[in-house]
Amino acid sequence: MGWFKKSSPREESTTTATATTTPPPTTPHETPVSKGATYLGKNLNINGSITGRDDIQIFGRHTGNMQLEGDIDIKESATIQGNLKARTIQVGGNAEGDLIASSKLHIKRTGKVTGNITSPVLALKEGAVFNGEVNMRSR
Amino acid sequence: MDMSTTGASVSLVSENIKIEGELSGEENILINGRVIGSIKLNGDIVIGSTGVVEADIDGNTIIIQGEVKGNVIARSHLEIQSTGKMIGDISARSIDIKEGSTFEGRSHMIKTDRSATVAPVKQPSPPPPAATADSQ
Repeated sequence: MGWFKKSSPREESTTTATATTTPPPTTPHETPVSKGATYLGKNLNINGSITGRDDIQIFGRHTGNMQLEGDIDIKESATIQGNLKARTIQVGGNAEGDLIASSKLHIKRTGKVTGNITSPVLALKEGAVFNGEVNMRSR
Repeated sequence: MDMSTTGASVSLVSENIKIEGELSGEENILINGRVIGSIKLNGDIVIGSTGVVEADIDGNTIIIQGEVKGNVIARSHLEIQSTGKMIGDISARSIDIKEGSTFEGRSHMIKTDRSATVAPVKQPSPPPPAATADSQ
């Protein structure tokens, strides 16, 4: 059984660090972390279209089209059916439909895409599944 | 706001996002953006102050800080906070409508099953005084 003597100086160091780094909140109602990011959880099913300017992280199911000015991150547990259009699209889950990214498209190791993809920059990791056509239009 | 997430995760619809369609599942959700269609969740629903919902809502605990147009069913509790605007009918097991909020519609309380035990109230026996009244 040890007396964790190290813990007390470490605590001191963290408290001093946070004290120096905490910036004064400019807008109290807007937290920078949640601002501009939609999070759709694992147990949420959406049947319909999503549009907007923010980023989206999807863990659940979505059937329908998505058109965003932000980024789409399709997580490993997610299943998407529909056409997607966004700045960057990351696929770690299942996506069925045409994907159009204006800057970058990334299919991860766990990703599975069925449909045509359009993007100026493309990344396909080993292990990814992709059935469809690629169109790499220049920016 | 209590942070008692009943096992399920919390989804967030951010301010600049619009969802047109049906939302369903077992999730808690915070809506700061727009939702048009229907929301039916086995979870808690919070419509944030920037949230605009044009949909019928069905959930457990529902807290309205933004705007809702549609019928709302709260299986446990419904709260319309002072910034909230609710247009439509509500059904809830318990309601809390704060001062300053807007509510246009009908309200219907969902009765708990325990109401059956409340029903047999002690009935006063009026026959004796009634009899005396008749005699007079």
